[in-house]
Amino acid sequence: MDRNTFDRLVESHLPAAQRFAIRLTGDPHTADDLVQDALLKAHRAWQSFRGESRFTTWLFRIIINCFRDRFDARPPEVASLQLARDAATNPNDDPARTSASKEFGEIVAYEVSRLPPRQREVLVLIVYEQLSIAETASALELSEQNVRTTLHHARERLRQRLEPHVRDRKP
Amino acid sequence: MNEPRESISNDPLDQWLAEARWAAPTAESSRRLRGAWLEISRRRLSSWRRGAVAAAAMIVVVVGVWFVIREEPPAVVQIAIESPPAKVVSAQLPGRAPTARELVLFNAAVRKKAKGSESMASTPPQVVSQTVVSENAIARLWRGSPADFQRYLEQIANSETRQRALHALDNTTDLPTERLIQALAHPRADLRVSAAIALGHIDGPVLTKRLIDMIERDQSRREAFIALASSRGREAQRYVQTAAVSEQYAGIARSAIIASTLQ
Repeated sequence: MDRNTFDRLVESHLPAAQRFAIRLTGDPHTADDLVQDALLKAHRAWQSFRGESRFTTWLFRIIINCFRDRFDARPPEVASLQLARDAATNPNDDPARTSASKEFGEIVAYEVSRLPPRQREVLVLIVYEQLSIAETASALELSEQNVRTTLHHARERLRQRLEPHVRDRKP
Repeated sequence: MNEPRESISNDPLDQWLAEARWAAPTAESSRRLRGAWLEISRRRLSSWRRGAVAAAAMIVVVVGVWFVIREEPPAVVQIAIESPPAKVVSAQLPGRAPTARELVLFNAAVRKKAKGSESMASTPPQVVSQTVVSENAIARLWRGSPADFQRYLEQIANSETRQRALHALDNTTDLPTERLIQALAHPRADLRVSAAIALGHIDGPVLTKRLIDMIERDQSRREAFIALASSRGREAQRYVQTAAVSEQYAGIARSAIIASTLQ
């Protein structure tokens, strides 16, 4: 792949990279810094993309490596739930949506972003980025069995944390 | 971000997960990231072009040297030249021989004159005046209209003119510090970085304190970090190094250090 094509690919994938980083970190500002670090790494490592995997998978792997570099030593201070709610407010929202379901959506996002890093990576890639088990294993340099086990633990943890909120939801 | 999707299993957890709602990226942050990527790509192109020009120049030099070496030297023609005997110029004044004091003063004056013409010869006057004119032109940009000031920032953003644009700041007392601080919030990402680099070049304890205050008030925080990381001042460097290992600022400080080293 020539360099100009690579540059255009990265640019076209920036929105997806941002959304992925926000889901990983739970905070838009931290996500921006994470993506900037990833862009520098991608710029230096562009020749390592040989088309053997999807470009998304390659780029997300770089973002995950930057995420691990930042947060392996110091777990991120996840924004409080109130801050997460404030950040998730979208002026284009349909006002007919019940505030309860909006609140629940924010709680789900908050709990996902609170998962331990490895569980969070696996769950976000599979559930929200819709990568397959094989692609996730490749991106995270894990075995497929390891990915399945981690996903199972992540789901069980979320189930325990979300069930109380589901009971409190208004129909 | 809303991710509605149909549940593909009977597990209610899938429905719950589908309702997750994160903050959407703002248009401003998307623009900044795109600007950052374009800046990184552009710098890579500039350095590629510089490398290509350097390689081409090297090839031309090598070919030129080869041509010179392979030419046969001209036949040596031996000519005997009889040089006339050197004329000895006596320092003696007509009338009487110079005194010892007169000789000392005379020799000192000759030495002083010789030293003066040496220093004139070492700095070709034409080059000095061109440099001064160029820096005066740059200084007029940062004192001029907003469009002129933007052109000054673009000179810093351009790797070929950056050093000259920064050097012009060394030879003036009329520094555009306030304008540069305002430019830390410029809509263009590359010019925000230019302003930060210029502030880092200006340096100084008062400016350092001001940049630290901006960081702690979350005002153009990233650009203020780049300015500190670009600075040679000890306090600025100490602040950035401490921030790079702190919980609150580690990411942004490290990102700023990387951005400052790309210059």
